[in-house]
Amino acid sequence: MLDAAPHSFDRLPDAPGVGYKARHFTGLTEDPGPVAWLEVHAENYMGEGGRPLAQLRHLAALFPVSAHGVGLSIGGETPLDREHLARLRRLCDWLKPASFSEHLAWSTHGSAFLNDLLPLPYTPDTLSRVADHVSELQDALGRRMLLENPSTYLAFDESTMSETDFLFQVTRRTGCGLLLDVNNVFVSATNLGTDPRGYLKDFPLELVGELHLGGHDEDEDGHGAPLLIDSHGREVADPVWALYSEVIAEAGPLPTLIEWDNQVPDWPTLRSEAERAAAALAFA
Amino acid sequence: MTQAEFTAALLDPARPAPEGLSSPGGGAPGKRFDVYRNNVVVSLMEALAAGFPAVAALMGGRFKPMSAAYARAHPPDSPLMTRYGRRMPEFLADEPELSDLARLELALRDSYHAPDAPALDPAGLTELPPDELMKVRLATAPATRVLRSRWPVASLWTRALRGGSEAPDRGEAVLVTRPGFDPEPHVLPPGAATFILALEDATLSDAVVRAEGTAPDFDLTATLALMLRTGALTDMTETT
Repeated sequence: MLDAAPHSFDRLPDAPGVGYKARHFTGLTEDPGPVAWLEVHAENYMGEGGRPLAQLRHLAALFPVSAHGVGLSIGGETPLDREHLARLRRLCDWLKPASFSEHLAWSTHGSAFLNDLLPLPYTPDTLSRVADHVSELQDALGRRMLLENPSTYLAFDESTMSETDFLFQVTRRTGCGLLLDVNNVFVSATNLGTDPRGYLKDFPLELVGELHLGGHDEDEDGHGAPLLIDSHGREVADPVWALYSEVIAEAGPLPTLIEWDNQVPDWPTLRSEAERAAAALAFA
Repeated sequence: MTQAEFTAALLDPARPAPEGLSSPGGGAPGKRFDVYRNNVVVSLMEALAAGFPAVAALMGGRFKPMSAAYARAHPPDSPLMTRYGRRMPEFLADEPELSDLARLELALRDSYHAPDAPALDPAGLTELPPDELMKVRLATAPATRVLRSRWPVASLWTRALRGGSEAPDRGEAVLVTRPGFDPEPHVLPPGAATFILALEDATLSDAVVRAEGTAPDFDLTATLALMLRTGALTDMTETT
């Protein structure tokens, strides 16, 4: 029996982690393999009690936890939802996660929450807004956050900055760190017809506190061009593993998350993805 | 292009994609914008299917189009997807049986996320002399819910998700409790719903009087036994 005494971890290890799903509770606690930390979607743990909080309390004593917000709408045109900021604060106060991250995206407009990570143009105006929102969040949580690069399917005519420059400028203005999703880099580059290695060359790797790896689906747009969908519903694709190896060769080992949110596999399948990341990290 | 325009186009498939978006080859965004449309509506439909499994099972093939229409008409008003679907009962108002089943499924979901509370030790209650027992105030657990329906909602729920016999042809009052982490619906005997709701502001004896007012054959012992067995009671205070 593992010791369930509560203790806190102040950082994520430079090792594989997985996005936590309740069906993996037993596998994780009995046979974690190389999985050394967990990531949870913050919004799933904002109830007042019951199984989700009890499981998280148990797991947080065993593993460092990364709280990953999916609902704050940092890229939104409208002000941040104060109630939601307070909920995030409450979660971080009791969970004391080793890391907190959110997305360069928007998901709320007016009173509608759209449950997807939607894209924004990169301009001086959107940069100011995103930087203000990141600062507001960091002030509310009393901690530094990591901001994640999005996956995109289309381009905005009004963009005047590259995504890498935009992210770098946000870190300059706010002091936040970055979460680099390597699958998103590959998905966006394929969808926009750009070079993922060029993107990574421009990415400020020294500011990265965590990496994400996930699976995508392959499709075509109406003009016969490849269209990759960031589905998190299968194994990480080989070209993404190749980019991942290049990133950690350059940046050194980093906490690396396997994300598999849809068509969630059995524990051994997910663990074998983590084993593949562990093998790559051993060479970094 | 504003996020208001982007949002309107996401939720209305009849609208064209917003101006100012393009494909890498310069073509219209078309299918690329549809990826976002699809992500939004499908993710909301999946959340509704997960939140209303019994309604989905009873509706069969009609659930998907209904849930897509609900998602477009009532997108979530909060990032807490665990709360999504509050307006389903009114959305299904034309099918009162399904509407009440949706109410039950919302009650079960609320119960699942409600605060934890240790159950009352039955000994405290059974050891009191009868006259003192009737003066106590009982507190129900935060995960407890009571609902009444003109339809056999608890039986429909059980049959939809676990199989079993045909639901009876009568209404049901239902107690939702959460003994551990999994909420369960229980069909209540006559008067019991009135009794449980009365506990909110009445002593045991006053609650019994109200219950007997609606059902002369109200069975206090059976009702208390059910509540004690399922963790529906958390506390008792003696009044003078």
